[in-house]
Amino acid sequence: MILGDVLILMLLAAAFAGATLYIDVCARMIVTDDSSADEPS
Amino acid sequence: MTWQGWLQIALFAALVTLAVRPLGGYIAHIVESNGGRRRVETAIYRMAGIDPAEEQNWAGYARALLCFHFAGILVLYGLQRLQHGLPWNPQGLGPVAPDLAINTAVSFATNTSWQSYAGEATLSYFTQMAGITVQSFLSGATGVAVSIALTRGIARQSARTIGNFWVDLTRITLYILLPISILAALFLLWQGVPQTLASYIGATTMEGAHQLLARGPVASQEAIKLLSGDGGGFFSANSAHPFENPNALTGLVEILLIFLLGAALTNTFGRIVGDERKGWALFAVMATLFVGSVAAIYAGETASNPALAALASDRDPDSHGNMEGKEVRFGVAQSALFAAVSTASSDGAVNSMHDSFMPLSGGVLMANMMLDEVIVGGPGSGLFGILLFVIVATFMAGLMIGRTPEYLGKKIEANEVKMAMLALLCVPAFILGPAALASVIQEGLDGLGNAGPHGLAEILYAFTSAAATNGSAFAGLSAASPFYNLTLAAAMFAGRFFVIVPVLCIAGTLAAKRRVPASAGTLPTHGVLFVSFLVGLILIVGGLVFFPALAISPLAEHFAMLGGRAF
Repeated sequence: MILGDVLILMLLAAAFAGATLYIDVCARMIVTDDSSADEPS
Repeated sequence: MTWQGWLQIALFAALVTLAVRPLGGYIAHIVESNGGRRRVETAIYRMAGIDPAEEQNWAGYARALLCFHFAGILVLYGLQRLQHGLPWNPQGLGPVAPDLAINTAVSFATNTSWQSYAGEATLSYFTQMAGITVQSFLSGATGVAVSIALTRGIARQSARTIGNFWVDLTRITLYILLPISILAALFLLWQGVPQTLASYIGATTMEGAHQLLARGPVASQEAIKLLSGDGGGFFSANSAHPFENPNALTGLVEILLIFLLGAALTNTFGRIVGDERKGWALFAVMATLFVGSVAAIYAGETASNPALAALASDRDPDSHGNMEGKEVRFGVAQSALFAAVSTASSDGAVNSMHDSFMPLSGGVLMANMMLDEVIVGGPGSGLFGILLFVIVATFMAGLMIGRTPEYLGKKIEANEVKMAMLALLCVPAFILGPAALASVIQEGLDGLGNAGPHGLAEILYAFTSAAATNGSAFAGLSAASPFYNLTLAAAMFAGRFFVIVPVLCIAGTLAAKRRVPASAGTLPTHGVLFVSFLVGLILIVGGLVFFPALAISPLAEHFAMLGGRAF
């Protein structure tokens, strides 16, 4: 059971690392194409 | 179909509509009031070291949200694994297996409430109260917070921030979820729902057999289960259990609680952006899709199964249609209404067994979830879900008429459309991919309760429910296996957080823009034309993505049934 817990917690940590990375990916996607922010109308 | 059945549906729709404006105004007041903090709120900020005046940009908001739910999943996982050594466990229930514990922890932290376990036989009172109920509050509050952050992004101009996650979470929990759920719990208690820490009780049935009646702190969990769009029942039978939902009146109140916040948030949106008509337009889209859904399900369940037409009960003029898997005290109309509400929202509570619905009705239930839960949806998730479609609709309408797409004066450009599509495609990917895998490997097939298209529908329903963070089950699938526990947990995690992150990103990009004044060339986004366009877009996008999968499961089963073959 302890081994099961360790495996599960490793999977969970990987999922959150992936989600955090996802924030950075989204941020880069808009930064590289951010020509329109605060653009005068 | 009976007029009494339609009257129930009409009464429910009228009550929801009446609640939209007052509750929407109250929510707007709570989330947008800068002063007037009360003592409890201030004490929470001081203890947690939060400066309520300090706002976050979208990435900071998203990181705070992720960290908070990471901690929530760890705590709920720990509670389940250690419950045998914790208090309030009168039945002496042992630790939950690791794969089931992580499935349950992710399920409740993501506002899904998929239950691969039977509550009364698996979780102690302490785990139910300190784990499940707490996550019901917090995951519901998170959904509302994200929708408010997106609304602020649309309403603000040249801003770098979209609010403070901790402040939004605290206020929504303290001033919206807690008061309403306390009132609802008292009402349920009055109607006979138990609220006790005493152990299960033995009873002798009329046949002389001994029966153990499960009970516990049900009313308090039931109230927030419905209000927060969580839907996880104290008992395995969920709202079909008489201790969760004793009568038709509690049934009506339960579905009202499910829709209350999701519907009211459209008005909150309208108030914050300064044009309530925009909110009513979103509500009109939701109402149109809901009426179509409930009418299709009610008609399908009243028509009954033609293969059983020769049986005396179905020749009876008083027969009320397909009663398999339904409670007699609710009948077809309220069961159909409850099922439509449950799947149109992200709640997933059930008062009947969806596996026993007619194939086409089952298909409509799945379609409700596949449309990204935009038909009212969960608290907050319905609003940000429909706003994703609004962005795509505005962009497409702009392309069609040759104008720069705008919504509420904000130009909709590549950034917003990329993020909206990322969010909208994430859910189908985590439904169809794992469902395809489960339908071909032995670990997936081992859980099936039926063969043929009905078996495929069971798998498809499970992953649809998980990725759309609904949580209802088709009931025919034995999902308590390591394969299903882990794959469904992954689908729930992605279906929640991989959608929220792009939504917050859109909030950030829109907040940074200036508002363009409306001109003669601006597309009105509150009229019948836009509402019809948005309804069409939602149906076409949902239909095109999922139609092939639906065609070989509920549709194929329907035609096989007409040919006299059942699965």
